[in-house]
Amino acid sequence: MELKIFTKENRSKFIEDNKVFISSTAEYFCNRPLDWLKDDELNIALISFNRACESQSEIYTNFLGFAATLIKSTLIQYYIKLEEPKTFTFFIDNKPYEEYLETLTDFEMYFENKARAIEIALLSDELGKHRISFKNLINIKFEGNGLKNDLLNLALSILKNDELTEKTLSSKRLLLNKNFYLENLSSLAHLEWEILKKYRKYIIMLLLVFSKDEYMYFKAYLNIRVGDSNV
Amino acid sequence: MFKTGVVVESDKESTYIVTCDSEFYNLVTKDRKTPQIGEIYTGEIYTPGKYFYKLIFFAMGISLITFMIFNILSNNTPVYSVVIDINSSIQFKVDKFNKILKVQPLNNRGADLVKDLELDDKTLDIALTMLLEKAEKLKYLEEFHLKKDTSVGVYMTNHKNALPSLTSFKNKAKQLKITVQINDNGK
Repeated sequence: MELKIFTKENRSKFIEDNKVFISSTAEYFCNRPLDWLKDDELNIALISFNRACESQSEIYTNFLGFAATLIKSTLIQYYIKLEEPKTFTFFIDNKPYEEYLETLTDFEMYFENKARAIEIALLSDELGKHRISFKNLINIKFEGNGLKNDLLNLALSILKNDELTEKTLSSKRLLLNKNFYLENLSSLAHLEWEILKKYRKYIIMLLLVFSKDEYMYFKAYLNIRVGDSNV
Repeated sequence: MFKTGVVVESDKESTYIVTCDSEFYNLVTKDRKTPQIGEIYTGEIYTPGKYFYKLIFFAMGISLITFMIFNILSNNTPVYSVVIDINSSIQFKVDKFNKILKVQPLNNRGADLVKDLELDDKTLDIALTMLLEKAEKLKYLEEFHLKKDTSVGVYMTNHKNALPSLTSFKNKAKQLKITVQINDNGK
């Protein structure tokens, strides 16, 4: 896509022309059809698209890819803060993302890789503060997606509560403390304390990724969608 | 099994990725070309056992090749020399299995004696027997028949193994009524 300098008028037209893209991106993430008149998700997606237009002169990658990344990242933050509990699921197949990758030029691919590399370096530093390395995470194995989704939903539930998030992340060994689990997490987790203890590093990784806006490209790569995989 | 994901760490041996369903894997780095952090990478999952067995097979292969090379070299290395004196002198270089590696006539009569004889790879016993037969044909042994106190000399040097039997050679000498004197390292 060519670089455009938007005026008020042509931006409105550009957004109008891309409403189908905005709704399809939001619907894919939300895993259900959305209605412009009823669903807040579409308005949030529209605001994100507008923000992408504002920062277009600063981005070097494929515009629609950037806009989709921003929409998804904003919707995740929206759901985290939403009172009403939602279930999230990791999906293995990510056809829209694979199709999107095929449309990228080498130049756009280079800048996307670079953006992800910067985020990964940041994440590696953050994990290091909790004495976690990527090699530790490789040793964590899941049989099926059930437990992994439970841990994702636990992490996103913790993130709804700023105090709990801070407490969990501030102490390096807090998740190993059974009293802390019983007092704070048992109602959120629906998981045994031993499971939490075993997967502590993975939970910390998820908390770090989803608690910060810095990991936009990383979050966009993870194929998380709202609802169950069979919806 | 192959996996695709974003590279989070890499070196020439292993590439660590995170997949889109948030699982971390250790993949084999293809052609030892380290991929860039952040790029999307597809590769085969690294399985330690598989590479351990590969390493074992590789080590066994190397040992086998080394053993074979050593064996070939040692089979072709002379371990001792034998000189036979039947009015003509011929030197043999012999390997550890008592097989002839090299035949070296030490004078013109010796050259005539070994001419047309295929002695390479024959055992020392057979080679000496063949020489005795040829010497008989060329009438080199006449003076040994005439002079009772003259004997065919066989001199071995640098001989560390047990003395080869030379049964066939001794029998042939007996048949030809020749006295044989065997000298092993000066004894």
